[in-house]
Amino acid sequence: MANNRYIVLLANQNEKSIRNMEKEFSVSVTSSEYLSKDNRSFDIIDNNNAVLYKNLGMMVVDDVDEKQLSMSVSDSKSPIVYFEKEREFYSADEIALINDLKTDIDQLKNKILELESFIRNKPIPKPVNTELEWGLKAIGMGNTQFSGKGIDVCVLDTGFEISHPDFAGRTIEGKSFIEGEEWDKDPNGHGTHCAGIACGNVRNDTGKRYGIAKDCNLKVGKVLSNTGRGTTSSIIDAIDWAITKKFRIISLSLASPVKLNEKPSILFETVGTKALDNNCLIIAAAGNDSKRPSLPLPVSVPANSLSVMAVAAIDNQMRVARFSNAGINAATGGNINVCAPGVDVLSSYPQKGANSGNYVLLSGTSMATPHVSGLAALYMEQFPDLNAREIWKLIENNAKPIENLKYRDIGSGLIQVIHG
Amino acid sequence: MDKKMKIYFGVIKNGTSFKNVKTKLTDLGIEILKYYSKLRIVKFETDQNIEEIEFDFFSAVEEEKDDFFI
Repeated sequence: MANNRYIVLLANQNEKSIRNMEKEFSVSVTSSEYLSKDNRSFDIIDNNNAVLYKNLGMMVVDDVDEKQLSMSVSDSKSPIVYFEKEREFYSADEIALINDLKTDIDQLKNKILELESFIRNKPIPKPVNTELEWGLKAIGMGNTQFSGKGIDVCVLDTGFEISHPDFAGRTIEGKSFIEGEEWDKDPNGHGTHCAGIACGNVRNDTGKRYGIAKDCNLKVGKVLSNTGRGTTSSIIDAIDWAITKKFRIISLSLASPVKLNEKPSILFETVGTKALDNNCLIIAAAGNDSKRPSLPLPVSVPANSLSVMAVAAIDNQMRVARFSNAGINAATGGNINVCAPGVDVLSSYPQKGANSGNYVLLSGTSMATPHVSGLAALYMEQFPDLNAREIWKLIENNAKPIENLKYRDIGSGLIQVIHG
Repeated sequence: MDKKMKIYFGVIKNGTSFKNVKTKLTDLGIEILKYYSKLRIVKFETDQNIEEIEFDFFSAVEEEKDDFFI
């Protein structure tokens, strides 16, 4: 182990001072004038001695008591006026300098990457300049920045074509309740269309937007067969699954027709109430049995239950769709709650048969329903403290009545986003 | 000629436990297919005429429909 060396500055170099120094610190002091190649300074110093550099007025001494040196400096009788520990000096090494620079560059690069990531992920509100499908314009989609982020929207339908390019990269959870058919394929196409309206984004060819809650979590339950038909069992099984999974919205673009004055199903009334109790909103199509204007028919099951939101369809001229069922069983229940775009609605579709593209226009209360489901997801993101019943109330309170259209046909009116 | 088995859904009355329902349905010779605990609904299958059975533990019993369409 190397000893500590000290540089000691002397007030004077007279004989007496040097001898006192030798005595006090038990060293032998050699004057620098006696140094030679056979009597080198470092050899002298290493032998616990000291070398006095007369011209500099200082001495280098090896392995002395530092406290004693400090006391000597404080003592006015001592010739020692200052001391410090010997420092190490190194020659400039170009390679070491380059390595240091490389380290600095790496650190700088990391800082730049960190900054870039921060800027890219910063939630900057982007101006809405995307062209919108007519249905989205009608509900005021240009006036909101909300996108359903974090909200679980469950579409119970014919399944979903998972290979659709507009949904590449999305994490989609699903389950089939139809034996022998998979949830992530949709030979029918209806489910993919409905899911696109509620949870899609923009067309990959024109960039025009057709989906509402583009950042929601899409959940798919296959409850209708590839022929477009389902049973009470498949629907109840799927709703039970969705409630157990704590999904916030269940979108049902399906219907079973009822007769005039037929009472609503207590089964679905119970299911709707239990869903609301579990903070889940069920939204269902009013049905497409009517032949207006002469023959409007009553709201179908399950939309005719008071605990399920019933959705009617309108066209782009703000007329009620000719097929859209109405609240004509008012005495026994089965009102329309709201209306939404449901005629010539463009959305995602599997490539099949004559359809070589990824989109088609479809009409039905089936298309109106996912507009409401998507909007509900925006509301839930916008008002995170509201429960499902309060969201329902907000949707109805913000719906816009349409001139000359009856409550019987459109309920509280055309759904609208809340500016924000 | 064999009677056709049909599927029904029973909505359990408030204050009635599933255990009680299960016992009574078993006593009636009715097979439970599924119990939806979150919904408090029982799916069961029977070939009996349910009009003739008094389900005092259900608030409603509905037969399975297969006419839900897109």
